[in-house]
Amino acid sequence: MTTTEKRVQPADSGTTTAKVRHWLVRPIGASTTAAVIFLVIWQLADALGDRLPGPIAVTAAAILEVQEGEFIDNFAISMQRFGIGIGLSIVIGTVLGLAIGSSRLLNDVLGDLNLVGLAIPAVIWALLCTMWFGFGNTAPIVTIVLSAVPFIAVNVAAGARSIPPSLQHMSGSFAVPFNRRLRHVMLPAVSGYLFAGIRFAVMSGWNGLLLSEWFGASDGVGHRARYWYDANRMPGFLAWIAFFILFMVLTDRLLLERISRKAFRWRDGDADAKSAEPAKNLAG
Amino acid sequence: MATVTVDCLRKVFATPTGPQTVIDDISFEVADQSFLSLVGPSGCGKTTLLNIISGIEAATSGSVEMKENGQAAKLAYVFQEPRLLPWRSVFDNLMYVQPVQDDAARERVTTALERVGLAHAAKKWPGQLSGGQQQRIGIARAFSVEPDVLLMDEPFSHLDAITARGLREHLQELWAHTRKTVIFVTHDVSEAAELSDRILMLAPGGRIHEDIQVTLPRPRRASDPEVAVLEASVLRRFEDLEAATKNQSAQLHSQTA
Amino acid sequence: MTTTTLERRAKHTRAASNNAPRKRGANKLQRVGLVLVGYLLLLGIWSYFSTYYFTPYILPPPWAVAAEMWHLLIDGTAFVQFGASIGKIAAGFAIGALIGAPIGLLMGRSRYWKNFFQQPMLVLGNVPGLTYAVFALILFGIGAVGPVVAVTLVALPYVALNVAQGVEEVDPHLIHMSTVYGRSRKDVIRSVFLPSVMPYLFSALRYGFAMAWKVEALTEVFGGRSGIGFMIRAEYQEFSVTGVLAWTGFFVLFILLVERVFLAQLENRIFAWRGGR
Ligand SMILES: Nc1ncnc2c1ncn2[C@@H]1O[C@H](COP(=O)(O)OP(=O)(O)O)[C@@H](O)[C@H]1O
Ligand SMILES: [Mg+2]
Repeated sequence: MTTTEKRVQPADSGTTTAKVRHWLVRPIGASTTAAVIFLVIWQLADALGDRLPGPIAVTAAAILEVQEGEFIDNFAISMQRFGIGIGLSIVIGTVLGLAIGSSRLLNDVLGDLNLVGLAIPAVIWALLCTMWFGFGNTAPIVTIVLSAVPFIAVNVAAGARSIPPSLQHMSGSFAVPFNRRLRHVMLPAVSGYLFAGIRFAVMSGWNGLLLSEWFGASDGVGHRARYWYDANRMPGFLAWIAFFILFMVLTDRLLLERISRKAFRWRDGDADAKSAEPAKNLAG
Repeated sequence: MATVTVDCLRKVFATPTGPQTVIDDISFEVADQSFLSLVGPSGCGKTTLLNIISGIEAATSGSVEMKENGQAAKLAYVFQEPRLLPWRSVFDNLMYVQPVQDDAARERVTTALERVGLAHAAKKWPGQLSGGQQQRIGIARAFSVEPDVLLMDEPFSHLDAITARGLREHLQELWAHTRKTVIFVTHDVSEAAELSDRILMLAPGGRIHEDIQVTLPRPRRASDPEVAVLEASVLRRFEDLEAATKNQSAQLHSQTA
Repeated sequence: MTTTTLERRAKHTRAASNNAPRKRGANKLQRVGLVLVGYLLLLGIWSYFSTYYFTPYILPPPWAVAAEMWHLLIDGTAFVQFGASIGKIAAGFAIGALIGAPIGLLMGRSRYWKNFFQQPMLVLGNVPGLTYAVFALILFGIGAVGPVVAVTLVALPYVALNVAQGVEEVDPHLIHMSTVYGRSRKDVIRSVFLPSVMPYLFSALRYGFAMAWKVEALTEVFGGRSGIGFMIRAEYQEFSVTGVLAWTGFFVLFILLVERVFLAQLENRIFAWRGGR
C-alpha cells in the first residue's frame, strides 16, 4: 500500500508529466484507466471478430434510439411498472420482515419460505407470470414483487432482530405505548436494514422487470431490447443493455448508497457496522 | 548473559500536522537477569519504544542491540492486549510460536500453561476464556519460548485489581524462577515499585526523566510498607515532572506570544 | 442472512447450557413442526386457489405437480438435467474463483489496484442477469460454454470483493506478533491470513453460489441444450405450467438441501471457534 502512495512526490509536481502521473494514481485516475482499457479491448474485439459491435457503433445506435423518442417512451412505461412494483414490495416486505424478525413463531413458520423465495430465479417468475397473466402490466409488476419482496423481508427481519432486548424491556417497564415504541425504537433500528434491503430489491426487481418484459410485454425497455435482438441488430440491442447497466449503476451509486449510508449514520463508530453489511451488495 | 543496549534512539512520526518526535535521543542499558520498568504517562512513547526494541517498528536513528553470549538474543513479547489467534486452541496458540514443533516444545507449552494455572484450558478457544485468562495465556506464550529477553507492555492494565494483583505476584515468582532479562512497561507506579530492580521514568516528548535503582528485598508485595514508601517517592518525582513540563509549555507560550 | 445462522447457533448454545437434553429435543421437534406448518400453509393456499379459482391449466394443484416431479425422478430426467447444471456451475465458479481471488488479493494489498478494480467489479456485480445470458448466447452460441462463462462472470466480483475485504481486515497486530516470535511467511499465511479471510471467502461462496444458480438457469433458458433452465424453457414453450412448477420444485429442494445441510455443516466445522463466545 505504502509504495503506491510514496510514488507521489509533491516536490516535482510542477511539470506536466508529474501532474499527470499524480492524477493517474488517484482513485479517479485509476478508475478512468480501467474504463479506458476496457473500452479499447471492446473496440479491438469489434475489429478482430464480427460478432460483437464496438463501443462506437453502440453509442451511435444509442443516440439514434434517444433521437427517435423510443428511449423516453419505453423508459416511461417501464419506470411506471418499476415504481408500482417496488412500492408494493417495500410495503409487503417490511410487514413480512417485521413479523419474521420479531416473533420466533412466525420466524419458524415463514423463515424457510422466505429462503425459498430468495433462491428462485426471476426468470421462473417471469415465465410463470406471463403464462398466468398474459401480456400487459400485471405480469411485470407481479414479477417485480415476487423477486424483490424476499430481499426486503430478510433484511428487515435482521434489523428487527438487532433491536436489543434491553431496549424492549426498558420500553416495557416505562409503559411506552406501542406506536411510540414503533417510531422511536423499532423503525430507527430497522431503517438502515430496510434501505440495505431496498438496494438488493431494486437490483433483483429490475432484473425481474427486464425478463418479464422480454417474455411477456409489447412495450417497455425489456421488450425494446428483445425487438433489436430478434431483428439480429446487435448495436441496437447492446445500446439497450448499456442503458440498463447505466441505469442500475447510477441508481445504486447516486441514490441508494447515499440513503443507506445516511440511515446507518448513528452506528458509524461501530466496528461491527461493516460486517453487518459485507461485500455482498450484489443481487442481480 | 542477555543484555539490551539502547543507543541514541530517536523516533519521529510523520503526522498530518508535521513531524512528531516521540522518542528523543534515548540511551540506556539493561543488565543481564534484571527487571527494568519503563514508567510514564500514557502517550509518552512507551509502546513505541518496545516496538522498536522488538523490531516491529524501525527507529528513525540510533540502534538497539540484544546479545546473549555474543549471539542474537531470543525475544518474547507480552502485548498490551492478548493478541491470540482466535481460531486456534490455547494449546495451538502456544505451539504456533515454537521454533521447532517437537515433543520438547509440547512439553514446554504444557509447563507454561501449568505455571499460569490454565492447563485445563489447553483445548479451549481463546474466545471461551475471560479477559484475564487470555492475558495469562499471552504471558504463558512468552514464557513457553524460553526467551533471553522478555518485553511486557502494560500487561495488567486492562484487568480488574484482584486479577492483576494475583498475576503480578505470579510474575514475580516466574521471574525468580527463570531470571529472564525483563523490560516492563507500565503507567502504574506502584506496579513498577513492586516488581522492578530499576525504574526509568519517561517524560512526554520521549526523554528519560529519572533513573531510579530499587534495592528492596524480594519477594515483595504491593502492601509492603517499603514498597509504599518507594511508590510515594516516585509519585512525588512525577509531580515534579508535571510541574516542569507545565513551566516549559508556559515559557514556550510566553515566548511565542 | 448471516445473522440468521449466527442467531440459530446462539439459540443452540443457549439450549445446550440449559443442560436438559429432553427439553432441547422437544424444542427442536417444535421447530420442525412449525416449519412444516409453514409449508402446509403454502400448500393449503395453493390448493385452495387451484381448485376454486383457476383451471388446472393455469394453476395445477400441488398433487399434480408432485406427480409430475415423481415421474421425472423415476425416469431419471431430474438427475440427468440437474447433473448437467451443477457441472456447469461448478466449472464456472471454479474459474471465477481462480481469477477473482488473485484480483481480490491485489485489491486488498494495494490502494492503486483497489481503485483500479473497484468500479469494474461493482458494475460486473450489478449487471442484470439477462445481459449475461444474452451475451453468452451471442458470443458462444447454444451449448455449454455460454452458461459456464456466465457463471464465471457472476462469481468473479463476489470472490474478488470479498477476498479484498478479508485481506484488508487481517489484524496487523497478529502479523506483528508473528514477526516478533520469528514465524516464517508460510506460517503467517497458514495461521493468520487464511483463517481471517475464510469468513469472507465463505460468504462469497454462499451468496455467489445462489447468484450463480440464477444466472446459470437464465442462461440455459436462453441458449442451453441441457440443464434445468433448458427444461423450464421447454415446458414453457409447451405452455405447461405443471412442468415449470415441477422443475421449480426441484430447484427449491436442491437449494434447501445445499443451504440447510451442506453449507450449514461446512460452516459449523470451519467456524467452530466463533461459537465459543
Ligand atoms: N504510527 C504512528 N503514527 C503517528 N503517531 C504515532 C504512531 N504510533 C504512535 N504515535 C504517537 O506516538 C505517541 C506515543 O505513542 P505510544 O508509544 O503508543 O504511547 P504509550 O506511552 O501510551 O504507549 C502518541 O502521541 C501517539 O499518538
Ligand atoms: Mg502503550
